[in-house]
Amino acid sequence: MTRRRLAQMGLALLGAAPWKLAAVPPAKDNSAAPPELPSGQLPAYKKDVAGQARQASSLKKFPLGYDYEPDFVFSAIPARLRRRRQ
Amino acid sequence: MKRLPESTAFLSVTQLGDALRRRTFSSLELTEFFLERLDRIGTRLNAVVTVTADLARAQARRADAEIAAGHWRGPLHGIPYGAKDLLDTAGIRTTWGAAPFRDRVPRDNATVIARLEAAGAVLAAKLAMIELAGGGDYHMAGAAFTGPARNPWDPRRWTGGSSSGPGAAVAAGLVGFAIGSETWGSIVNPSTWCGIAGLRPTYGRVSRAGAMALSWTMDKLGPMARRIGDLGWILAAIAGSDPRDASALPGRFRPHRIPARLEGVRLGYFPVTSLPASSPVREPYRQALALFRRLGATLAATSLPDLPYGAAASLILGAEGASAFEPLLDSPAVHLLSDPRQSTGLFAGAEIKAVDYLRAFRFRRAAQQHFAAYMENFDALVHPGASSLPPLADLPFDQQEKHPVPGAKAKPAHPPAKKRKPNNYQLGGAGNLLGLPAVAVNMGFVRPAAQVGKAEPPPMPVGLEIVGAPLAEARLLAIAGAFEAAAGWYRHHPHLAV
Repeated sequence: MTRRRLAQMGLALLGAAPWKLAAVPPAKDNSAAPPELPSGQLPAYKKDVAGQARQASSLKKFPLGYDYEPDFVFSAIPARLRRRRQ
Repeated sequence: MKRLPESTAFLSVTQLGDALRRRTFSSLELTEFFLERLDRIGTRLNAVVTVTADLARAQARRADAEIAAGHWRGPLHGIPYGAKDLLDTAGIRTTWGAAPFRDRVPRDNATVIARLEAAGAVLAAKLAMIELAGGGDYHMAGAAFTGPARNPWDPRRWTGGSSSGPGAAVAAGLVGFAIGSETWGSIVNPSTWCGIAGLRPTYGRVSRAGAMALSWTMDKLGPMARRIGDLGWILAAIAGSDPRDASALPGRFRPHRIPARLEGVRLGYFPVTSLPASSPVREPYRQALALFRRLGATLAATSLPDLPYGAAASLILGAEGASAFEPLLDSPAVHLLSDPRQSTGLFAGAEIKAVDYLRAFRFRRAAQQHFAAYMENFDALVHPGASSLPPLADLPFDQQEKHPVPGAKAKPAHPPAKKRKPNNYQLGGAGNLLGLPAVAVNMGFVRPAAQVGKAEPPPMPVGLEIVGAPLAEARLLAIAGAFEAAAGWYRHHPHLAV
């Protein structure tokens, strides 16, 4: 059974409409340039993507450990309610 | 109506405010004066998107009535200003400098606009900018549907960006002051190249509600003016918490008195030799450091902790920018941008992996701790805001002529073994990644080399960037203000042949 079929069954059990899955676009192939990009911009695009990979690689040299990251705190209270409390 | 002398255009906010309170001229007379200059000079410099004449006249009349009735709102009351065209203005188009948004009319004012209105300031113009604040990168000054912003000191040259209109308008005396924005260099760079004062506040000091979002964790709004002292008054009017922006920090800002001397102030500086050998700003920088010593500051040569600030800042800006403009990237309108480099960069930013973005974010926290320990040794760091002069406005950046300074070596005698980014790139990357405040102040003028057979070009301003710890704006303004007063470069103004 495919993951998609499993997801459809799960949603059906929850009362959701499984046909809505059909509206989800297929996953994008990250190895290819976006089709919207004119061919003349491809070399610059590829250079940018390669540069980003180099930048990401340079950051890997710094061990970051396993600490909990307080910058990624999600609040269960919606922003609108938080504003009212201020 | 009184006709004001040309010199009025270059008065500081403080001087303009004093004249309004003494009734030397009215806010309406001052507003008409600046509106005429915006129309006559601003359009030729490509500095203006929309002149808000009707609104300005109404706000000026109200300011005059209030001042006459003895209700003085503060130093900005009755002063005409311009806002970079990424700040929402109710019922007035706000274009983000980009053709796809040239007819965008917001319903509400940005918080900064509302706060300046409450302070009695008069909105005279929405000012030009690099499209989308240069979020996807750009390769020419003309990356704006209004064309390349022209530098008032030499209109053949660019102003710098992305707050190009604010830089030109303040330097040319078209407004009393302006509000710009910086994600990475967009206040410091045009302030440096236009010879004006600029303040990039600490991240969170000023609410971004109603401003174009490019990078939620790096965007800052800040003032640009003709004198350092003005920046503090403007920041005091716009800083503070805002329920519309969760990142906005509580607490009012109060500027310090600008001291005459800098005894006891510890400045870290990057050695002159760290600039490229051909850099035309070496000599003004050397003289600026000597002036700081004469003012009593303690100077220590330093270099930034060797960390990949620029890489982390690029990844965060790239990923957040691609997300912020995702609807544009999904639309054919993306191809209406003036510079195709923009869309290329935004599309590429969409390919940054989530894990790489998150790693950059986690690195940022670690770097913050490193930097806090490093800054315990200094009250501020000083370095040129740019190591070169502004490029020519009508040529792509990669086709610019070289601007050698007579006597400069073409190459260093002993090239460094490891290729490193220049310090102003590193300082800009670190300062914006970590949300640190910075002040730009004029440090002199350099005359570009003349081309064979052509007239001698006019001298161009060069600037100093002063960076400090989070929330240290008052200290930075005091340091920059003492330097500005002693150096006296603020007395020079461009000769506008228009």
